Amino acid sequence: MNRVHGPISLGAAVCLQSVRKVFPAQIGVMKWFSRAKPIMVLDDINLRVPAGEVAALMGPNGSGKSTLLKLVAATLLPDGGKVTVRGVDSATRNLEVRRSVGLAVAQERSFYPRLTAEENLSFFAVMDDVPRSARRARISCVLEQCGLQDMRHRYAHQLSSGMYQRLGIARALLKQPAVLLLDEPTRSADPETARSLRQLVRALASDGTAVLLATHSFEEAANLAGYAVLLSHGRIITRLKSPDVGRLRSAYARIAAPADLIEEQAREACLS
Amino acid sequence: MIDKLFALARRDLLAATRYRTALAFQLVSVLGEVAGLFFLARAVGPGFRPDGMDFFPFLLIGSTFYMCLVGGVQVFVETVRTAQLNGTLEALLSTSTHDIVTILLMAASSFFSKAFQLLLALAAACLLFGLRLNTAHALAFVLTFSVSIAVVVGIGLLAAALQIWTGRGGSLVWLFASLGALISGAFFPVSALPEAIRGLSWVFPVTHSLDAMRIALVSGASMGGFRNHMVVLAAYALFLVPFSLLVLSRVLSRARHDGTLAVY
Repeated sequence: MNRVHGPISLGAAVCLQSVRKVFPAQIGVMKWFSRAKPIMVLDDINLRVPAGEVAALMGPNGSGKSTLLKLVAATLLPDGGKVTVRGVDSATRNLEVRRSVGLAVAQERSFYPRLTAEENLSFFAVMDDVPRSARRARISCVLEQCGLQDMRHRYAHQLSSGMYQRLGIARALLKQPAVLLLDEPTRSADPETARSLRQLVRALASDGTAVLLATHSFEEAANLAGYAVLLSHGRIITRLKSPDVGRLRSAYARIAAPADLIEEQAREACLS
Repeated sequence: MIDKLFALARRDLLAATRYRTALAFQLVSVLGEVAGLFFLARAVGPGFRPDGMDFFPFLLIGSTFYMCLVGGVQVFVETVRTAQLNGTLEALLSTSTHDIVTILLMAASSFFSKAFQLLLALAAACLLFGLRLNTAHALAFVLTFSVSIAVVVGIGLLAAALQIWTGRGGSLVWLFASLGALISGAFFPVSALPEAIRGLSWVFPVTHSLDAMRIALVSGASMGGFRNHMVVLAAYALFLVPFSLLVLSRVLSRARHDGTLAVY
C-alpha cells in the first residue's frame, strides 16, 4: 500500500481535505422515520490536483469515483472535510466553484432530445454565461474538439451513445473550465474516437487545465495520468505516480473482486 | 437574465414546434373550451347574472384565468419533474446560473404558453362569440395579472421545493387546483356556497384574483372593490415570495447534501 499524506497546497486547482460523504438510507420525509444506517460513500479523502495535471480515479463499481467527481463539481456537498477548487470552498461558494468546473458525466440522458446538438450546446452556453459575442465560435470550437462538427444539426435523440457522450464533454468544455471532470469519457467510444479524446485531454492539460478522470481503463489511466488514485469502498487505497499498466493492474488486483478484473482485462483486449 | 430567459423560451418554443401535433391539439382545445363555456352560459339563460354581469363573461374570465393561475403553479412542478425525468436537472444545476434563477426562468418560460392560452381564449371569445370588453381597464388588467402571478410564483416555488424534496410536488398542485375549483368562484359565484365555506373562499388568494380580473375586464374597474382585492393579493405576494425562496433554497441545499437533486 502506497499511501501518501503530504501537505496539501491551497494553490492546487482541486484540493480535497479529509472529505467524507454519507448518503442517507432514505430520502424525503421517510428519512425521519427510517432506522436504516446511512451509507458511507467516501471517507477521509485527501487529494490534490495541480493545474495542468491529469489525475486518474480508478476502482470497482461503487467505490466512490463518480461521487468524488460530483463533490468537486459542487453538484454534491461534503458531509465532512473541505473541497476547494482554485482555493474556493464548494460548500460556501458553490456557484463560484461551478463557474470554473466542467463536468461530463457518463449519464445516458442529459440533453433535450428534440433539440439539435448545436441548439443544446447553445442553450447550455447561455446558462453557463458564455458571452454572447463568443458563443457561436465557442460552440463550433467544442464541436470540433469532440469530433462532432458533422453532427451539429442532428437531434440529440438521433445521436449514438458514443456521440452523446462526446456531446457531454463538449458541454463541459463550453465555459473553458479550469478544472475538467470526466466520468468514463471513452466508455462508449470506438478505438479511434477514444484515441482522439485522449489527445484532447492531453492538449487541455498542457494548456493548464486540471483534469480529473474516472476510468476503468488501465491503458487510459497509464496514457494520460501523471497520477492515479485507486479507491475501494470509499477510501483511497493506493496512489501511484506516473502509473503504467502493469503497476495499475497489480494494484487493482489487490482491491477488486476477480470478476471485475476479468471484465476490465477483456475490455482492454477489445480496445487495444 | 433576459438573455437566459430568451434562451429558455427559445428552447421551449423549438421543442413545442417539434411536437406539432400536441401544439395543434392545445390550440384546438382552447377554442373548444371557449365554445363549451359559451353554450353552457346560453343553456343557463340570460336571467342568471352573477355579480351583476352576464354569465358568459363571468364564466369565461373565471375559468380561463383560474386555469392560467393553476397552470402557473403547475409549471414549476412540471419543469422540475421533466428536467428530473430527462436527466437535465443536474446538468442545469451544475451551470454557472444560480439554482433558483434557473428554476424561476424555466417556469417563466413554460408559463408563457399558459398566458398565451388565456389571451387566445379571450380573443376567440371576442371574435367568435360576441364577448365585449369595451369597458375593460388595461392598467387594472395588467396590475391584477402581475400581482396574481407574484402569488402564483410563491406557491409554485413551494411546489417545486416539494417536488425536489419528496418527488411529489404534484400533490400541492392537486390540492391548490381542487380547492380552487370549489371555493374560488371560478365557475359559479361564491355566494352559492354555504356560509362556512364562503369564509374560506375569502382567504383563498385566487378568489381575489378572479374577482379583480372580472372587475378589470368587464365591470369597468370600480376602484373600491378592486383596491381591496389588490391589497389582499399584495399581502399574499409579499409573504409568499420571500418565504418560498427561503424554503426552496434550503431544499436545494439539502438535496445537494443528500445527492437527491435528480431523484424523483
